[in-house]
Amino acid sequence: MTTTADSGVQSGPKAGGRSDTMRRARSVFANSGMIPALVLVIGIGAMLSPVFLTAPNLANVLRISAVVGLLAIGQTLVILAGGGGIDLSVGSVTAAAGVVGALYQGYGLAGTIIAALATGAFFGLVNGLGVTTARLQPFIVTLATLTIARGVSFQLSNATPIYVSVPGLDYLATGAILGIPVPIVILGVALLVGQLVLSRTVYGRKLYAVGGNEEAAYFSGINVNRLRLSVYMISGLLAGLAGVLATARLSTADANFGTGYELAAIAAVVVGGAPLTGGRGSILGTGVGVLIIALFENLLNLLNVNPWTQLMVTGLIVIVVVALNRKGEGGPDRRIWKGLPLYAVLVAGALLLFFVL
Amino acid sequence: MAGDAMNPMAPGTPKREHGVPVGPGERGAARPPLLSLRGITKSFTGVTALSQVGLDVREGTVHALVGENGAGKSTLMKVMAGVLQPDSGTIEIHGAAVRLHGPADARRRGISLVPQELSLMPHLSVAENIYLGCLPRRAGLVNRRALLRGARQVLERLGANVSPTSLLGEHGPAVQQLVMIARGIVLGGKVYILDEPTAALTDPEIERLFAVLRELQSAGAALVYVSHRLNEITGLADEVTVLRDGHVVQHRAASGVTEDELVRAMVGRSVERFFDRPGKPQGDSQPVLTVSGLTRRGVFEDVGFTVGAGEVVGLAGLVGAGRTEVARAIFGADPVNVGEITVRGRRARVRSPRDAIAAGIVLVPEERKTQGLILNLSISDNIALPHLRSFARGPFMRTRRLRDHTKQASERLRVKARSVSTAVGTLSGGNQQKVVLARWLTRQPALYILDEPTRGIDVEVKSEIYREIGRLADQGAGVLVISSELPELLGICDRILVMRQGRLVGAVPAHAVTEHEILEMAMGTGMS
Repeated sequence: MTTTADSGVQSGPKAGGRSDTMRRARSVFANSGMIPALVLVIGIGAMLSPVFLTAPNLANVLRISAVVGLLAIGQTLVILAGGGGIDLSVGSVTAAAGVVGALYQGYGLAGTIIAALATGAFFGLVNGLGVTTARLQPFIVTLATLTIARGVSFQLSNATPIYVSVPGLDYLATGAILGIPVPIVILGVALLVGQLVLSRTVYGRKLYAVGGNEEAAYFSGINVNRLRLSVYMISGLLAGLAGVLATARLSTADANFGTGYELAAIAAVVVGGAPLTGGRGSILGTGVGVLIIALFENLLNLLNVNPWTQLMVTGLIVIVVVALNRKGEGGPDRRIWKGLPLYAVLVAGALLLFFVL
Repeated sequence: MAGDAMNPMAPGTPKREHGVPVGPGERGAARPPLLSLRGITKSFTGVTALSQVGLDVREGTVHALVGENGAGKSTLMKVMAGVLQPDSGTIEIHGAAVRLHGPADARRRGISLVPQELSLMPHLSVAENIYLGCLPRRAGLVNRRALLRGARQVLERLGANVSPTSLLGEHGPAVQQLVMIARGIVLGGKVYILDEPTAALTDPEIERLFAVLRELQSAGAALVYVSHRLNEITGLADEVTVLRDGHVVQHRAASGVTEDELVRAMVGRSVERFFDRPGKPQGDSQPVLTVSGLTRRGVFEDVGFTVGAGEVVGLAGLVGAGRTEVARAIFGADPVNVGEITVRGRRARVRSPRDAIAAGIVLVPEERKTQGLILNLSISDNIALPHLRSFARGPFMRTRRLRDHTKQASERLRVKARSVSTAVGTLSGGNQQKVVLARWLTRQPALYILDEPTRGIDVEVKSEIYREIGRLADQGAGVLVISSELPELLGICDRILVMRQGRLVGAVPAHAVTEHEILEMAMGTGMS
């Protein structure tokens, strides 16, 4: 009786055991998974360039990646909450928030910041309502907001950069706390708070639940719509904050700012190990993803690789890292094997490019 | 009937032993049957769905397949259509053993399945749907002339007055069914398996379908006909096979068979009382749930009943009778048009599961993997899901308290796992079901609704779940159990409600009713 019941429990004790260890190995890989890649990038960088591993260079890289980093945190929440969640609007919203903040510079630092954050939250609310009550696809809603927010930025700024001079604002770009530049501190705090929210709070548990299985979460009495609305709001707010940081760094609000940043943020999330289907991922993973991409681009800069080649190489890195990190496809060996045709085509393309031209 | 001459079995042939295949030799038929199954066995994670099933389908005959919910009809159809591979046993076509590698292979060999849920493309034309996967081609392009000509011919043969260029989605289920049959014809089909083909049809449509089936039959096709409507079988079929618990319990000629005889063969499993609660007051306990006039148009109508405190009430009925839909409506997952729900004497406004839970109604849904659990989260997270707030201080989870509590809940139900941090996706079905149930224990809700709580679960875990149901009732909760296994309902319930076609057709005390009587109510036979 017991034995039949046991054999009925799993399709076979051996198979069950193996899949269990594999699952554990995979979860270890998923949780720390991208850290080896980060170490690898740093190692290669240190070998190839003497400047790479110096404090000024690293501080510079981090300072620049603060804006994309903030966007990537919001993006992580949106993607994590599932239901095809994605926020394509964050780049444009960053620009719009910067422009609106600049228009309110007469009200001082607080006025500028509040105006920028309110702008971000407004577009987040639009996205969230579109996805929840209007039941539109996130891709489409946020694509529309992307266009609208860019249009708003140009309209409000008359398509010319607005010079911003608010006392105290430059502190957000050039100041330092305990020797650490302020943008890095802000990014670090945002990452820590985000990670804490995801791993320790009720809200975080609910996010994983809704992203993992929307229907089961709904049947457990979780208000799925309210949760989804909130992630778009947070994403918008963070885009507003990113707009403030960008304005502080450049001392201008430019309607052209942030073009393509949404894609950089999504790439960071994906490289950080979160699948676009939701339910998995972490803020720390996203932080690592941001670092990998930023450091890699920095390294290419230091090696005097021209910017167009940089674009190609960065794209390649995203593909390779994600292909290696893909879940539910068996062990790493199998994943590499399955990726071979992809790499072969990429290499063939590269060879063609260099030999034919 | 046309097929009677070909059917050597005399009416009233005595019952066959379980699973003895009907060999061609004893028939004395000159040609081997078109399709035969021999000793087909199939089990899913420890639950046997089919055991040593043998079945012959002869040219030019209709072979009816009947049995209760869960008797194994669907599995058998899927094996015949190549959708499932049997664990053991052989499939023969014209006496030659074959292996069916998937449904496409089965179709190539002339076996067509017409499923209950039709799998067609509503945005393509009727003709394209008929030729789906085998569009006539010329020079690499679709040969539209041949496509339309072929489609028109086959539709004409089926007596369907339908334009082949119209979009399939514009037509009702009857036409879509004919299109499925037409697909079989253009592929040169010989065996047609029809799953509840009349379920969604009106009477004239049924007449027309039967004419089509007789036409196919006289053209030499073999039909396997699965239906709960026993009166159809006596009029249409040549042979009947009755399945029960995955065994063939009867195989006989259809002529002369009565509905009562079939029902008698379908039931007859032993009923075991899983727990006894002596001295439980009948009827005079306070109702925890009162439902009245609950209607969701087109799904169920005017459903009203009560569940008393400490009472286990079963909801019986055939698949599609509206049981799950009623449960979902009470739980707030589906909207209703009219109706009142009262929980412990207080009118409950249930617009979402959230409202229902707050009012004291909880649901263990039918599909534990898609509706019950978040598979990549831990046991602990899954149990805590509806009451995360109560494990928090401010916004933060109190991890220790959460673990202690969920450990307790999972120990009470004896969930077998390394620890409560194990992902539920790695657990067996039975343990997963225990986790879904454990989730609600802390709440001490007024009413538990359990939809198919033991589906796909092995016997040992089943009895553990039965015991838990008894314990919940002893603690004063009401329990509403939906199950397709009548012996299960008879074994655990105090009272059984029977639904048929969206209506409540009976309420009987479980100790005073037989499986046979419930099945008759559920099928609507024997009412006259």
